[in-house]
Amino acid sequence: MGEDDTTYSIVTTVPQTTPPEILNRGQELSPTVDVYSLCATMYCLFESRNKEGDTYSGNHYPPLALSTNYQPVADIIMAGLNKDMEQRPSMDKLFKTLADFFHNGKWWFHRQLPPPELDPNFLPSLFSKNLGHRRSYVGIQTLFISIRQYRSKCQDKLSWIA
Amino acid sequence: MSYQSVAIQVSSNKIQSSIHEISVLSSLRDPAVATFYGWYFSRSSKLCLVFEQMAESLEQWREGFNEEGGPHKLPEQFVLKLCLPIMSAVKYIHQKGIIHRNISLNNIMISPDFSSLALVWLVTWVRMILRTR
Repeated sequence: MGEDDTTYSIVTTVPQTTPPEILNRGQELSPTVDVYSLCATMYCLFESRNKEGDTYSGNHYPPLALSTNYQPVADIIMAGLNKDMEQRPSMDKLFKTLADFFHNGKWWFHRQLPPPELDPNFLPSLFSKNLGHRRSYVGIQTLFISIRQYRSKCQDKLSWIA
Repeated sequence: MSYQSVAIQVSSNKIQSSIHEISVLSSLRDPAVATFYGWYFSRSSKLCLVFEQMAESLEQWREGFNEEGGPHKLPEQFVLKLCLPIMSAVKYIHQKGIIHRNISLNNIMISPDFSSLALVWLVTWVRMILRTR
């Protein structure tokens, strides 16, 4: 066999967020390219066990397993992962569906974290502690620091919900 | 005097195409778009673009999150909340007639306190950063 008969195959790792039409050179690209990539990125985030870089055979994604209340989210993401770019939802539709779902608060009834439990005695003790020297600069400074700590404590608990 | 870290992207393309890309970058004026500070020529006559610098990518954050013993799966409402600003940013650039083509976890940048979220993007040669609040 001569040198000219030697065939080479190049093996590259294609990120799973790359849509099929990017690989088919010459095909005209449309904004649905970003719809596919965005849905694939969200798929990776929802399914934390699948790291980016892992390739599925033929860009085939298994159905997204989410909570029952999140079925509309799973449906629109799987629709965005359609190989046929004509069948994918538009960016406007994707954004509107997910934004409506999020802001309507349907997930509120299925939250995985318990409601925030703040110490009811924390705030009164905060003022009584600084009452003795409230006219002094140190007292005001301590009060501000305490309020800041209280706010950060609230935000830690509320950030998962709000 | 205060200093600020920036990200510098060195362009290897022709000047003619670079001018077009700079005009596109400059036209993206939106709260969701990070500041494009400007450009300059290096000593080796290469065009350098100056952008806002972000901390780490979402992929790096997620790996660190898993190493720290976080939950196996991220909370669903958290993922949704994370992705909505990015979707808004992509929608905005589509309205400007631009396609990203390379959205992935590695191209979404975050700040350590999650106060801002960024979408790094590669259009031919340019690295653009979209920031969402």
